[in-house]
Amino acid sequence: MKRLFAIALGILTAIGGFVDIGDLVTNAQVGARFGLSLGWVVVVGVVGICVFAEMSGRIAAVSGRATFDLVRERLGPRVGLLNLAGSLAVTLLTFIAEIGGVALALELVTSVHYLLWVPLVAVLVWLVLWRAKFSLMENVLGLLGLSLIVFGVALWQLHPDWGHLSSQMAAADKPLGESWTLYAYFAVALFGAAMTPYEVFFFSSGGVEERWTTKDISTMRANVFIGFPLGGLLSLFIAAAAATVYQPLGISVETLGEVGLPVAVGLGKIGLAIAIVGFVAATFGAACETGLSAGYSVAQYVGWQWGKYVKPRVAGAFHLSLVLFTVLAAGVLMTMVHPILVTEFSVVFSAVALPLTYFPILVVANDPDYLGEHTNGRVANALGTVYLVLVGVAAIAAIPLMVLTKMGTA
Amino acid sequence: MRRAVAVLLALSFLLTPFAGCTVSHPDGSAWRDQARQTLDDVASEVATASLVLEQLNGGRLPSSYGITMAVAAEEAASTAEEKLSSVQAPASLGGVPRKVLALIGRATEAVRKAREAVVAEHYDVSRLLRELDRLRTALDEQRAAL
Repeated sequence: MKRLFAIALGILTAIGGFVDIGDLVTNAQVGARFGLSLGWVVVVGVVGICVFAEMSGRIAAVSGRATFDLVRERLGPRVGLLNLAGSLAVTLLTFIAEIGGVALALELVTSVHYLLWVPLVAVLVWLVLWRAKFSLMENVLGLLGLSLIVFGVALWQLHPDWGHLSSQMAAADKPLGESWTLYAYFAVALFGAAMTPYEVFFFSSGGVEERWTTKDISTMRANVFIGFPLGGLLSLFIAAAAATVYQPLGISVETLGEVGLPVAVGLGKIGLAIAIVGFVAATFGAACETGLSAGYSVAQYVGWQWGKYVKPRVAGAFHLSLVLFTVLAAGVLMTMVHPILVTEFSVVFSAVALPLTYFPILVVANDPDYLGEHTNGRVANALGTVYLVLVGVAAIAAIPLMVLTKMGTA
Repeated sequence: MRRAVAVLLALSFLLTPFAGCTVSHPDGSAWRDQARQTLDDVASEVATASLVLEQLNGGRLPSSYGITMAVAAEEAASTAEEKLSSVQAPASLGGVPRKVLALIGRATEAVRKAREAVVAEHYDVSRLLRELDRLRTALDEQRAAL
């Protein structure tokens, strides 16, 4: 019974914790502009993050070692350092976007400019990273993030043309008047939003922190294979709600307020209040996860003591890095760079940085020295190889597409 | 040869900061592209302002949320307008740029009025809603005509 409860809780938090500021903004932007014609990318991205997370979770459970520990060992200190620099830059970019996302959500409730919220949010994030228990942080914020299901209920209340939405998703074709370059740019952005590298750093490091063993592999798989796809369904709800309300009016999504407005149209104030709880939980949870992931990455590479279970005076350097990253994130936001712009950059650069950690994890997942009998099977390897190609293509295409489309505005 | 390359590199490095200080003067086709984008952006903000007012009037949106959205719509419309008006339109386009900028100016003004109504909590503004609707149609038509 206890085990069943643990599995159910893990699945629910995986659903609620799946969506972050990148998913919220990118799915609403794509839905408003392309309807559900890019919905297939969400499906591809969700399968990809399942493959990636399952491999790294299995590695953590069997070897007891987290991503950057292995990256340094497999690639050597120099290449490992380049790898760390790229991945850390993207994780920090996402961290900045998440803190900005929480501040934007609070601005919607209070009408107080988000910049005034940034220092407070940064302090709160740091306090949670410093004091709160790992399970409390993961479970409370993950469960509150489930309130984003309200997008599904709002979609139902908006009475969309289900046939039209289904045919858009099935046809996977660009709408009239849009170019294939733009379609490809937003496909890469959606892929990056679904397969954000920090999710895997956090997932595998969390596994090491919670001392997973081979006995935990089945629970981990249930979380990944049930929780993540259902989390992906929330992304599709957000896109479909935006498509239903905004596409006929020609409205493009540029603010977090516009992400939530379809819920108000469908369900009114109570629905919107639930959506805002979901925004705060999703972005605050992701801010904690990205902040920790940044600290984990550096500590694992350098070989410091790390982890929320380790007392701050034992893991001093790790905890100091969390403080520095939080100050840096708040400082960047205080320069008035807009969080939505940072979000748009972070999802595209996530796609660019993905191969840096995906490839070493795929290699280690096939190495019996680390995994013994738990190396990748045929299906895992086939999927792993297909996604290696997809991740590579997205990484190569991301920056040229960003330039060609002027970040999706051309 | 090396010296010449070094001088060229140094010159381009020194002159780069001044590149943004000149007035942009694109040719007719580039101006039309930029104008179409601006018309699109402003039409989106007009539609957003209208939708926010409707939701506030129907009691489906809290006023703080509406204010944040209306302010953002006004800022975005004004930024788009300023960006296009700072571009030197080519003489070959005759009176078209003036007409486009006037329409965008009217639309931005209507979005400003919508923001004022939202902040003042005067949501029953059917005349303003009709004006926003007319302007959105006009912006779309102008975009198609360019």
